[in-house]
Amino acid sequence: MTVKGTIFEVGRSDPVPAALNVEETRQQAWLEVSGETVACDVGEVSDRVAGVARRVVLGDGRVFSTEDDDGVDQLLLALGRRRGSRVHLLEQPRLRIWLALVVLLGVAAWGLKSALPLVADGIASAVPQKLERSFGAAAFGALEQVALKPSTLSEDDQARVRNLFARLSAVSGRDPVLVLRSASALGANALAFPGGPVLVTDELVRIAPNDDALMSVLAHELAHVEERHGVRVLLRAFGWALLIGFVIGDDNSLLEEAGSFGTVLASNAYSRDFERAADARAVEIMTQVGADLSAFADMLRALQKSCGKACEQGDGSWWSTHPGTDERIRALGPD
Amino acid sequence: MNDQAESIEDERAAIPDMLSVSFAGNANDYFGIWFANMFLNIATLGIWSAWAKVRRVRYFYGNTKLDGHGFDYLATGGMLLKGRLVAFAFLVGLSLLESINPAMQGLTSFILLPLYPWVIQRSLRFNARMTVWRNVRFAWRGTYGQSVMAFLVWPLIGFVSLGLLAPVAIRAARLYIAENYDFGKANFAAVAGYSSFYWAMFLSILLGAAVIVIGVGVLSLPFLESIGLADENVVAVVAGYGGAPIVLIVFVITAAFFNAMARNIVVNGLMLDDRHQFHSDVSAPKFAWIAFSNLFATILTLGLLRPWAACRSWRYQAECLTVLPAGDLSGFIDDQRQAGGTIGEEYSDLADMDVSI
Repeated sequence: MTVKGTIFEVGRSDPVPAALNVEETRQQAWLEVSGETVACDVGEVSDRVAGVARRVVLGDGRVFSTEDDDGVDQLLLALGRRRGSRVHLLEQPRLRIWLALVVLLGVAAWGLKSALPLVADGIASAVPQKLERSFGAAAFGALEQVALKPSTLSEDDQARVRNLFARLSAVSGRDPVLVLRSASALGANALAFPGGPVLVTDELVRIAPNDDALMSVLAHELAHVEERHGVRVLLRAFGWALLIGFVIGDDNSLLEEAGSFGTVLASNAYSRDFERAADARAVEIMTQVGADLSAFADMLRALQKSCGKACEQGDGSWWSTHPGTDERIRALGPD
Repeated sequence: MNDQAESIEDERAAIPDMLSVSFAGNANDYFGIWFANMFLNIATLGIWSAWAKVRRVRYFYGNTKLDGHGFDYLATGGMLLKGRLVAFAFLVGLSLLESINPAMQGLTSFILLPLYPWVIQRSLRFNARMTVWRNVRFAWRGTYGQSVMAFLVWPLIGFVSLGLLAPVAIRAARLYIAENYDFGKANFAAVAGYSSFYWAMFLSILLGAAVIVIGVGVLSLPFLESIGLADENVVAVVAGYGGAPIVLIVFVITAAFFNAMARNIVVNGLMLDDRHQFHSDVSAPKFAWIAFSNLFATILTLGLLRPWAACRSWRYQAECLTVLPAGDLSGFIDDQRQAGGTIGEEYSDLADMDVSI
């Protein structure tokens, strides 16, 4: 069999028409150029990519180049060589292959989507508590520098909140530090940093209708720390960022910027899940210390009221980090 | 006298005045490569991406033909994977250091800053050595010191001059990249004036401002009302996220517009082996339109038209390029130098910088 193409001398760019013949019985290749035929060895052969000339390096370093893809494949077979990469078969535009690929891709995507939180949580559980606490402390330190001032609550009020918190953390599995701060930028708010501390703003203490209502927020934040929601949502979002990067990171383009938007949406969805989980765990903790559960709903309403119009827009929709207040109150049960 | 002129004429007749570059690829074939790469990336949790890059680059290079021969990319997936793993381990190590001890943050930027020109330099060198046309490889001979000037010092000057010297900085970097290429033993040389870069920058800023005005107009309340879309949810989304798409669109359009002009400036001042010249007549408005419509088509089809968009943009740039040979294009001789390592190349992949011209 014969493959027609071009031969290049070692390190030179002058193309000379040539043909490569293979004698199947002896598995010997012959190069035919300028009317002469000489025996040659076939070395490295480049993989098949649609429309790209194959580069066949001969034993003496000369390069034979041809667009005859099938010819080169047959030549390799005739020489008793292993066939090159078969990836190009996956790339051929045949409908059946596409359909099979789409189905497989769908299954793979679905599998990854359900496996990703499990894997991320698995990694999160392997993160040492000491490391988690140092994350939390670093994040708190950063926030404290820009947005926090010492608490203006009276000594009595501070002691009262600390007592409530101590009662709850005695029931909960973890014992994070409670910090009280004044923060006008945050409004009435409470934040749980990974591994602690739990930050409660003065404004939140002031709008709480009663002690039990305050306890519902503290229990909710304790649940975040206990179930390590901070690290888990971080790792899940990181997993999504990696995945999206692999899928559309095919070339260096602005698509990746668009992809990071998808990461935000995914991590917000996880964040809403964790808020629900924290609400459920808070109910358990409150029941154990014998607090009044109806105060929880009162507290949520008070928070919504203090937050005002800013919170109403997009409350609970796919771009917010918290479920809607109505949904949260409903989830607490009939009372 | 007359005879001599005629014999020169004869010799000239054998050589074409200009050779156009063509692109033989099509969206259908590239869709196959892109889709298979995506599939294999997911199936191998991203490890395939090194081989995916090789197949992608070989498709675009190999189908880009000049004087009957395509280009080729000789790097293998194994080479790229090795570099990727080292770069990945390095970055993970740095970010771990940072998260354990926030005080390390200063230290890591201290390490990364001088590394950045090194990474671009290694990447340009590696990719040039892996690119071949007619059995002769390219090379890039920029040094670390020059790269620090072109990719760190000049951008800094452009920045502290509040953009006044930005065209000078961009010109320095583009010329530095272009004039350091070799094709075999033959060198590229590049010249370009300052005013053309200032003109390109001026027009791009003007275009960007126009796009911002149009974008803000489209998203304004009166316009939304006039097309009956002024309900609360839409307004909330526009108020919260409306800025992001405008920024994205402005960036895509102006970058394409500027890059088209800069490409013409650099290519038209390029000379190989002191004889062969090049000509590029990319139309900046048309290229900006291609970039803008590609972005839209890609987003609206959730990425499915990405292969079509990539081919379209590549084809336009390739077909606007012609070579004006001063003689036979054979006779180039390969220079057997070693290629640079892949580590720098792959770091620049991770950091998502496009340094190709």
